[in-house]
Order: sequence, then structure tokens, then C-alpha cells
Amino acid sequence: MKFPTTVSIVVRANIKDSQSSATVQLQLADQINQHRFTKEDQQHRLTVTADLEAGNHPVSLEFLDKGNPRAGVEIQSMYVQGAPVGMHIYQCEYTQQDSGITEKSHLYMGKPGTWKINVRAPRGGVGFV
Amino acid sequence: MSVHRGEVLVLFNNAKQLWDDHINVEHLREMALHIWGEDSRAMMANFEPTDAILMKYQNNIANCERAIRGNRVLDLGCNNGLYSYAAMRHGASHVVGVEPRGMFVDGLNAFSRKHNFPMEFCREYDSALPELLKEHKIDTVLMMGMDTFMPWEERMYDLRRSDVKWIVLQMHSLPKSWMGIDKEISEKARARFGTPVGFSLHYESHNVDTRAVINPLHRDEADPQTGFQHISPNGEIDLKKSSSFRTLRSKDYISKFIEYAGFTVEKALEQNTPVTDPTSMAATHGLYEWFLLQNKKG
Repeated sequence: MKFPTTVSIVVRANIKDSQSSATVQLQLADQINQHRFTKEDQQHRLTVTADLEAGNHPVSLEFLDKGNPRAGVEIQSMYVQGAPVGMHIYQCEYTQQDSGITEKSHLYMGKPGTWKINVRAPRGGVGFV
Repeated sequence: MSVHRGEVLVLFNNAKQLWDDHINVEHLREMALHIWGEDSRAMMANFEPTDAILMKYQNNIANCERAIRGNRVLDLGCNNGLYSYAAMRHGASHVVGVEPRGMFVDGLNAFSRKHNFPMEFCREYDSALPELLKEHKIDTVLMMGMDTFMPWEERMYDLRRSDVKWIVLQMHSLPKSWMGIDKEISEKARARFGTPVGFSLHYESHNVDTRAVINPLHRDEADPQTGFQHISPNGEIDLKKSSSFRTLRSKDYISKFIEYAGFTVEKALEQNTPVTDPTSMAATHGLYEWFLLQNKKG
């Protein structure tokens, strides 16, 4: 049985000068959504929907823009099927691309890298139950 | 007076037929859009009620229609409003849903207004129950699974004192004799306080999910939309304020309390086997008891 699962992540950009930009890419299974920030404090909601088998599935938010040290991105909130995930958002890890250093429970990506978290399909307690 | 229980036979075929006759799935999709936004579209595209939903629908709504049809109904802790809507579809003249989380209340009011349905939703806690009953001239109260989240006994006394005619209860419960009570303690209890009639189980929980408990001491600081209490206004994590206790009561205690408070038991059923729910994180829904109570005076 497959469960259509929609994940949204609200991301805010921290862009230190007008020449910089920050591109992020959200992925769930084979579904991808990308956004490029060009202004400081811009906020954007990225959404992906995938048909998932029951179980845990990784959601990844990749901060691209290698070689651009003048920008960062902050994960503001996360929603599964439109419902906020609450504390679960801290069950994440961020791996910096260059150093390979992994930090748990970090919502700020100051350098290009990948932020990962698992979502469970089906998401219990959400929707009509 | 005593509470007699029968075992619930979950007649899913019958419940599904009743569901199909009363519930408009397009309305549910719209409700979901109003509550969870566009992100609910995929989830609701092929929505079918699970066995767990049908079981609750059957035992709280369809089998209690005599307490609902033509009456003003209050749904305490209405959550996403599914059973408030079901009560309206089963003939309630007016439904008041009570729920502290704005994400549900705002969306459900918008949905109800759009269709001019006789439903309204209030952002209130259970402690506002006495005032709400008077203000809305309520005949029937639905309390579905609220016993672990609130001071159940206080609310039951509120109902007993009120002019409400019917109470539809869905209770979590513990087995009658989950553990033996030590003979010496039992004898001392009898000598000093009376006969033990049951026990309760308290467990610590955190309000970190949309279904989690709400700490009554820190309601004012809860996020008005989600009810989360673990994020303080300055954005810091505050687990202490989200920490609370949940309570399960034994079947014997629940029965004795209902009897003691003076309600008339019209119907008492208990779920005999867990229901598997593929859409829930839990493998099965826990065992429930259902009561239809009358609040007769004199």
C-alpha cells in the first residue's frame, strides 16, 4: 500500500550581500523542488509530494551554491500533510559538503551541504483519524 | 443503578453504508483544504474512512442519533471537526465545536460559513465548558477520547450540574484488574477511606505533536495556531512548559464514577478487539468504551 505524502519546508535566506544568492533543493523519494533566493530574509515554502510505502523515508534539503560563502539558509518550519511537525524537526542532521562534518538538530546551514530528516508514511495523527 | 456493558460488534459494512449515506467526501476534502491547506490534496485525493474512523463514527454518532437529531450538540475537543460535521449530517440542529488550536477552529469556521452549515467552532479549553453550555443552550455533549487530556471528573460534574440532556462518551480505559492490589493496603483503604473501585495510570507526556497534551499551567503561552508549548515566544525550546501528565482510568473506576455522579446509563459498550489502522502511526487503535448517558434530574 502506498501513501501519498506531502512535505513542505519553510526556508529563510541569510544573504550577506546583494551579489550573492542561495539555492536550495528539497527531495522526497524521486520528487524534487528547487528555489533560488536572491534577497536577505526572503522566505519560501518548498513542497514535494510522493507516493511512499509504509515506513521511514528521508527528506533532504540541499543547500547548493558551492563556493559562495556569503549566504546561508535557515529551516523555519516543516509540515507533513499540511500539519506542523513540532519538536520532530530537531530529529535532523546537517552535513557540510566541504568538511563532511555532521551536526545533529541544526536548523541553520551556513555553508553548502545537506539537511536530512526522516518522515514516516503514513504520518500518524494527521488528517482525519 | 449499575453500568452494564455489552461487547461492541463493529459492523463495518453497516457503518460504511451509513457513512456513505450521510458523509459527503467532497465536504471532507474541502474541510481538509481549509485546515491543512493545499498540502492536504494528495492525502485526500482517494480518501476512504479507515476501520478506526468507522468504528468511532458508528459508536459516537450513528448509534447515538436519538441524542443528536434535532438537538444542539457541543463537541468538546473537536480536533479536525470530522465528528462535529458527522453530528450535523445526522440531524443536529446546531453544532458547537470546542478546540483550543486555531489551525482547526479558523479553518472549520471558514468551511462552515461557506456552506451556511449550522456549525460554529470556538477556540476554548475544556474549562470553559459550563459557560459554553449555557451560552449555546446545549442539549447533547460529545466527549470523544478527551478523558486523558483534561480533568475528566471536573467536566463530568460540570455536565451533571448543567441542563444538558445527553452525553456521548468515548473513553480510553484500563482492564478491570490489571494488577492485584496488595491485601494489606486494600484492607487499610477499606478501613479508612472505603472500598477501592479501580485505579488510574498517569504517564508523562510532551505537547510536541499536534495530538499531544496541553499543559493547563502554560496555556497562555501556547502557540495559538498549533497549541504547541515547547517553543517559547522568543523562539527557544522550553520542554518544561510542554510537559504534562496524561491519565488512564480503569473500567471499574469509570463505571463507578458515572454511577456516583448520578448519570443514567442508556448504553454502555466496550471494544473487544483492537482495530488495525494502516493510516495511523500506531499499528492498532487502543480499546475504547462508549457510553450514552442521560442527565436526568430529580
